[in-house]
Amino acid sequence: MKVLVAPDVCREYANCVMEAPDAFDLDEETGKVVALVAEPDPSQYEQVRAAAASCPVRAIALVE
Amino acid sequence: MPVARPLVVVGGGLVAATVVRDLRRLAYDGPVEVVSDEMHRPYDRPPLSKQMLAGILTPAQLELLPADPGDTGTTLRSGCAAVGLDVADQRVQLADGSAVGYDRLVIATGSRARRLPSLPDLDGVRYLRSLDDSLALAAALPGVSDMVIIGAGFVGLEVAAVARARGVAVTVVEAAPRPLTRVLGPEAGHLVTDLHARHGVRILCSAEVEGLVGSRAVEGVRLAGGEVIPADLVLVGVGAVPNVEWLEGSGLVVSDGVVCDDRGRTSDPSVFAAGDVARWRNARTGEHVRVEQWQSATEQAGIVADALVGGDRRWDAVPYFWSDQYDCKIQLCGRAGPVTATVQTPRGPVVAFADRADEEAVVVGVLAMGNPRAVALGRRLVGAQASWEQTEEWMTTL
Repeated sequence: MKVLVAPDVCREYANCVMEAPDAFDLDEETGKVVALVAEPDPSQYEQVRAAAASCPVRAIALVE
Repeated sequence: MPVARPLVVVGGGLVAATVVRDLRRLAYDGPVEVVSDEMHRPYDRPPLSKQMLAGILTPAQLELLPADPGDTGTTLRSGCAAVGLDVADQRVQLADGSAVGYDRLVIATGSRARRLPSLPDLDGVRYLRSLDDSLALAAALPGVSDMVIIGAGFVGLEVAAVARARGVAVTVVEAAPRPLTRVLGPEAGHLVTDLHARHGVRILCSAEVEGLVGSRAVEGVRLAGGEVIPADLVLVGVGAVPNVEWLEGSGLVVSDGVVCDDRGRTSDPSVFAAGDVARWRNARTGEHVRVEQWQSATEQAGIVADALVGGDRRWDAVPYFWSDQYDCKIQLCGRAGPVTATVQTPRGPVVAFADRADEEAVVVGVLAMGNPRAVALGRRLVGAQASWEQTEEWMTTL
């Protein structure tokens, strides 16, 4: 799985941080999404999928 | 050979789109039929009170289906209102007299704007719920100089912010002592009043609307006490009512929404419900609640999809609510409570809530205005039922 984020689409809802705090954060300066792991460990897959699904503006794309 | 009945979703909104998307992700390849009373394809609702009114997005950009263009097993029936349900024969009755048979059913008919029947039927009085409402309101805004919004809920306040940014003079009239009382409780409402005041929008609380002034088109709103606020557009945003009338006589248990367990199952084993129309048991609190939020609609839809393929996920999420007003993101995780601790961070105020202030107190909710990271971290504390002492300490680090 590869994680792709679109900071320009991100609207700082932070749903992704809530769902997968080890995989996503919001940049402290810009407030936009940061993928902490480009290729998550399989143990993170479920959380990362939940995070991508929870984004109200679909700023996270997963390549599986 | 009898043809297998499809999985039917009644309702063509966020829940329908999310159920379909999640079913396909879970490799469910059976036929799914989405029956919607809307003529529009399923669309996302939050932008209707924001970007659509600001002219930033077009209707096409709100579309939720098809989630996957290659999905040929999903049929959308538009303009088909459901008027009855026969659980014994497993059929949904439609307004045109026809019926749709189902193998399993997901009720996702959402809610509609509560009307104020006591208001006279004048031009310029509007409600905002559907895409058509939003398009009509967006078209009307350029000609408006004074707007009164009845109801300081998040729809009314979001529209207030957009209208104000377009140069409209806006006044919000609210019957409760504070805005957003249903979600924020009485303690944090003043933060919202301050936010709007800074932008020149008055929120009049503990104010009752007695009537409207005007003969054909609205000219003003009269409050109890006599004050008349000039208005050439009045938006009414006084809550929503679940669309459950079509289920009368079906035998399903309905009580302010279709009653479901924490996996979305109704009183009938073949019928599920999710979103605004459903009253779910939350496994975390043990209580039934009907939530009108985007977040819980998508959570519940995902859990129903999981249940439909034999999964066992329960709804135990910490509630989460967000509202965009001006450039401020208002976010609440958990719920409000009578005890509060507030920190002014560089990005805005953060408020933690508890039910009590003694050594047994735990945090029950965190509200942030303009600080999404804080509420994301706060949600973890709420989920873990962190002690109030630990919460107060955490707030000093913000």
